[in-house]
Amino acid sequence: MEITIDLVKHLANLSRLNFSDDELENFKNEFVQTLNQIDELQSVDTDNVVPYSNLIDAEDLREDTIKPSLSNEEVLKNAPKKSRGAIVVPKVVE
Amino acid sequence: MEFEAVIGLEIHCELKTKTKNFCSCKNEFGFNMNTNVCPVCLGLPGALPVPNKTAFEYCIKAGLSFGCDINDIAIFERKNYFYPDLPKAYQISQLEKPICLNGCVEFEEEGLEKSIRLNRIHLEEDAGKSIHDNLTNSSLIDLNRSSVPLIEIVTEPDIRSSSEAVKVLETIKETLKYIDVSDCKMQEGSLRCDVNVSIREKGTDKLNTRTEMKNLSSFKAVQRAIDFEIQRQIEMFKNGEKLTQETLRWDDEKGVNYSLRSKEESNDYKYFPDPDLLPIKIERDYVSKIKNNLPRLPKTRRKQYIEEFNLPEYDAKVLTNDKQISDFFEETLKQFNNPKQVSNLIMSDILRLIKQNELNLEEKLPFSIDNFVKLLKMLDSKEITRTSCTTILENIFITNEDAIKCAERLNLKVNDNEDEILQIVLEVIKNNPNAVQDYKNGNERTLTFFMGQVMKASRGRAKPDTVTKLIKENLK
Repeated sequence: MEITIDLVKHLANLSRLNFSDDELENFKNEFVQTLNQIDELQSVDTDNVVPYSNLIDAEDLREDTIKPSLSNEEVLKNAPKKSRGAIVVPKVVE
Repeated sequence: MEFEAVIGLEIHCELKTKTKNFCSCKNEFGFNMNTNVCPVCLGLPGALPVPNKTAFEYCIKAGLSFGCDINDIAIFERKNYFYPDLPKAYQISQLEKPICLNGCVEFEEEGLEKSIRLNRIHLEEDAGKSIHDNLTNSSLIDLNRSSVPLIEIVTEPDIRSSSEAVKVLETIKETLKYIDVSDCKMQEGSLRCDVNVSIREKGTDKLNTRTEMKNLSSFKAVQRAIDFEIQRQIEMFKNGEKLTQETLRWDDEKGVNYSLRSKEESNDYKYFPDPDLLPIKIERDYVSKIKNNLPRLPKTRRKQYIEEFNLPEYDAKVLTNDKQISDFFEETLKQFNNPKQVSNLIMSDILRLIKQNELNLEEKLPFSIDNFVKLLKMLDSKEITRTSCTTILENIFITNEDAIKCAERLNLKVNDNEDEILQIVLEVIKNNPNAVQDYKNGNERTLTFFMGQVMKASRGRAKPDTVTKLIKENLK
């Protein structure tokens, strides 16, 4: 996979992050290095290795029993703005 | 050129588990905002999700009901996107290894058996709710719904018309309600539907650019939105305009679709397996156990009612509309094996009483099967007339008062005392000389008139056979 500045910009945009041109260039080089390391991993022969070694059985999942939730005050503790028991954010419409 | 529509559905149903999908907060609609919330569904750093066993089981149940293959291993993945009502900035969903694959939805339309293939059914979590406030230009975020279990049912693009799409939805809703995994209330948002539509020249199998429609809040809206979109695409084609792949929002009041997302920001969710959640192994024994406990589905029941019980198709349909009614019917038959008679009383009286009393069929009926059987037996042995039967039912349906006691209390047991009935018959004959003359002139229908008069005078209690016999004897 080729790492381009546009790809790095796209990923930054998806992550809602803003970078300077220098930073973008830096990320590009780091991504290339990381992918090279992964390519090395891919050269290992895994034909006889089971894909999942650590599984949980569907019958051992959490029982469907209600436990107490947080109080509304606690839920809103970190909210910069609140109203009527809700977290208030700038208006977003898709 | 003749066109045909190519339609696929994505249906989301909230599961009616007690707790959320990845934490033990209460899963219930209609609570005060942000009161069923904990660090996990609030998306606080370090909080770990733990999958709900019942939600997982419900998803398998749904899959088995539509003939899906159940995977040996299921994996939860992260679907990444930013939105204020999604506090983790990712939804736990499934991509490569969903719980259920393939399967189909079967239904009947205009006498034809149809089958729409399913692509998959997977388990995921709902997002919170945003309430937009135009006045303050802000949005309120309620996270009570955050992490509520959802199944997503994805069909193949096998649907060719809006009415077929509605049939598929109705069948899915009916099935999920029967197997008791979802309320499927569109108005509360526990059943939601996205629709993909494209058009092509009839007879070809090309897949053209499609649009996706969201915000369809009723079956009627689904039908109208699809019809509108098919027409719009045909018009565009005829005018030589190019269709862009985009998401549209249906405005049910105006009856139009409008564009929802700007195109340059196409979705890129970067799915990857959620490292917080282990892959889940689904043993075949476990699947068989669930399969053996599935209730019989409406389709199977209808077939049995028609073929074994000799009921008309109409009866079979009405009786299987709701599982509780269908169960009520079948349980009654175990004690009183006359399907047509039981069906008649349910269809004419019981369903009417349920409606009149605005009873919610999700709750158990107040009227017991044992009591219903007592009533049926009295009717069958002619201890009460059909009219009295309805009167009794109306009296005892809510209170579940004993049917026999009620018949006695209201003095509705049939009167078979020949002397008493004879008195009434003679009285009626005496008071209607003209009718007597008619009868003697050979008008047989006058008999019905006399019957009616006598029954009225006896307040419906006189035994009909005896009345007929006595009228005939005394009119000679």
